[in-house]
Amino acid sequence: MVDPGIARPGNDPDEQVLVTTVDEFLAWGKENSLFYLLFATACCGIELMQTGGPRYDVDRLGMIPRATPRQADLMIVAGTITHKMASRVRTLWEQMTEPRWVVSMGSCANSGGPFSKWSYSVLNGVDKYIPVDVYIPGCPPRPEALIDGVMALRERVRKYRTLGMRDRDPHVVQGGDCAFGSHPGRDGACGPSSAAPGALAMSRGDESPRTPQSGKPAQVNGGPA
Amino acid sequence: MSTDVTVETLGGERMKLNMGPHHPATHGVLRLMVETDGEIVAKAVPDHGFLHRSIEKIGECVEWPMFVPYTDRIDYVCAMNANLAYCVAVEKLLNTDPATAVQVPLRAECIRIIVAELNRISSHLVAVGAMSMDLGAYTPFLHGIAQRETVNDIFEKLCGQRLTYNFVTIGGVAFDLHKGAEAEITAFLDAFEKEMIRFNKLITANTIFRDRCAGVAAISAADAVAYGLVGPNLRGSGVDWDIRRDEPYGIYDRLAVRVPVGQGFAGRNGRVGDCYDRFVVRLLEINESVRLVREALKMLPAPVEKKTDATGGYQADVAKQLRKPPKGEVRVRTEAPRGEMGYVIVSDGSKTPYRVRCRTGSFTACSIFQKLMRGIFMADIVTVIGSFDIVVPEIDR
Repeated sequence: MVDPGIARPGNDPDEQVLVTTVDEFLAWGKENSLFYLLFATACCGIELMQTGGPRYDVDRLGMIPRATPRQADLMIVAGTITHKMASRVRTLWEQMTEPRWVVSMGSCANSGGPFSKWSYSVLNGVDKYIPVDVYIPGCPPRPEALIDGVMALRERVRKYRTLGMRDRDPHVVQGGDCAFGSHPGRDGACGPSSAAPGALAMSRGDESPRTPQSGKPAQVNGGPA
Repeated sequence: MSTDVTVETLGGERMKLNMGPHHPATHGVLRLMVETDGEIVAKAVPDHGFLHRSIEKIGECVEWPMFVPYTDRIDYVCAMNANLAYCVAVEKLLNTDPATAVQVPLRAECIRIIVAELNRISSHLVAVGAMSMDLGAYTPFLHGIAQRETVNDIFEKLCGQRLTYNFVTIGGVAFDLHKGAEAEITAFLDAFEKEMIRFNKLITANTIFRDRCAGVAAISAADAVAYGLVGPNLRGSGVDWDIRRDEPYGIYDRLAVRVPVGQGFAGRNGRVGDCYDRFVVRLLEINESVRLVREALKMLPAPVEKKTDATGGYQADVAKQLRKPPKGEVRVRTEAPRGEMGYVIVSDGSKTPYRVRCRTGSFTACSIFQKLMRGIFMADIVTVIGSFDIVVPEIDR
């Protein structure tokens, strides 16, 4: 005998309806299916590989490696980026469909790491070429640190609004707290050419990205004058 | 898989393809400029330098012991062996002058063998796992990584790092074995040997995999020597040469090193020196390393309180010698998992090296790519790269 006074879970039409906004629903979907680009250059690539391995198993977070940037949402820059490689990294990033996110994994991608001082060929930080959402310290970071970084990224992805701010850059929408202070938008570059002169002291002239440079540096909110 | 059609008989229109620098099967950032005639490769030229980090130049800027962490980054899959090669070279330099001679404690030498051979196991696991993954078998890779995690755990307890250890130092090792390390290592080896039987059933004895690799890109022994191949790639071609046995460093001369060589393991379709031989030689070397670790564990002297003790210590005192090392030039070669890792070190008597030159196995392996990749199928490029087990920072440095 079923007591009509006790609601059975799943039978009540009211319980099968979730009210949400399209934006939140899409953000939930994006957050739980962060396909990442299999892009490993150096030592961190082995830790990235082992994070995808049986013990840490990032598949359970909906993270599946993709070989082509056109299918990827997330680029994990795992390893040293040299000057020769930097323009290729930019190309790969441009090939990814928006919205796209970047995690800089390890000291080399963050700042050049152990090669920043003496090396003549290493780019001191991948954020000179592409905007980075999350930086993970370590040389190389442990898989736990990588997963922690991904969880921090998921917080950002959850705040992403597809419809609400359709033609704005995702990094601006999320408070503009990325390395450049702010991004000028989709048409402009977010490289050193658009950053404030004092915000990023460039060590070499050849590090500017391939986007055309405007005559004078753009005004950037938040950056030091 | 061999083909009767050659590039010469086809004579069709050629297509140029860029493989890499971002390609999942090139093990990093190697770029191959491929010219194909249909499915047949007419030409494949490797392009290096995407990961040139000027490590040799850094060697001239930093002090002698400060270069050890950089050797980790030359070959991160087997960082212990990379540390060891540099430290053996610096010790040889110090020993050229009796005033600065250094005596590495016996316990440290044993620990070096143990960690180097354990690292060889974990490096070869990545090699065979990645090769089978490139050929479409994903499961063996996961089995290899699972075993590698256990080795990483042991190393993490030893020195606090999972990948770039900085453990082997000039004059010994950075830390003594932790309490219970011997039992841990023995337990790992016991479990690992059983696991390898499963692994071999899964992939090595797999007919599809074996036929896929049999006869592909066979290298004759003469070619292997002429192109300067080293390590398992050389032994895969049937050349019986191993630095650990033929030119021993450390205490390898007290161990009985057996050297497996390629014999055309793939059977009917196989040839000596094909991709399957290189694969199997690595697996046989894993077994050999397991035996060497056990032997070294038996030789391990009991620890003593004083760390510079000639027998039971783990680190000779070299701080004074390294401030004023003898002038001169030394050459040392050691057997890393990817073949001979050689160092030429020039000292001008100051506290920084005058020149550090590193010669690695992956770089020489790339020299034969052009010859091998002529006339093979497009899909076999991946097989060839996988069978050579290249690590790109080792090529570019």
